[in-house]
Amino acid sequence: MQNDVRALREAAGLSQGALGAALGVSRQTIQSIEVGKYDPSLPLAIRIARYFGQHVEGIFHVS
Amino acid sequence: MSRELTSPVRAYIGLAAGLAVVVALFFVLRTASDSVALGALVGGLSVVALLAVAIWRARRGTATASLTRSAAGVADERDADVMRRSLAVGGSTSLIWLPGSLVAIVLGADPMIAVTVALYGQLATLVVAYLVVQRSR
Repeated sequence: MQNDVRALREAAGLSQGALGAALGVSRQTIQSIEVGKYDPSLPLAIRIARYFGQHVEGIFHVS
Repeated sequence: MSRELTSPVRAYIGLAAGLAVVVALFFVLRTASDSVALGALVGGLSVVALLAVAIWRARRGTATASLTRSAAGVADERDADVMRRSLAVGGSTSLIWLPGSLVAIVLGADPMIAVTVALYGQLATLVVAYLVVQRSR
């Protein structure tokens, strides 16, 4: 699954650690999600989407 | 799964339980050999101390390693996923290590050596599995 988390994070001027802290996960988890190594759970995907004010399907795309 | 769902309280309970096991093991082993009991006590207390440091670092938010967070009970969902997959590999390979050691004993191997090899082989498998899974996730 591909996603736009990195682009959204960088547009918001956030570090991976800061986004992780805001979402209650580690920096490594954010990094793994951004590079597509780890697909977040649905609750985390929803939290990410809500954080950036978007829908889940607007951020995560099935490749 | 978020950090809130994996309570650090469980880590403290585990720490206390580990300490109790180490002390009990010391008194049990002392009936057989003082030096073995002392070795188990020092080794066990070292592990408990390392775990306490891991919990302390994780609680301060300075833990940067997935394993440290998992040990401290503040694992996030990826940490838990890495641990779950690693343990799954470890559990699966135990079906090779343990029967393998039994076969070796039946074939005439020294039981202590066979069991020790199986134990350390199992531990090595877990460590390697953890490292591989963590790099892939």
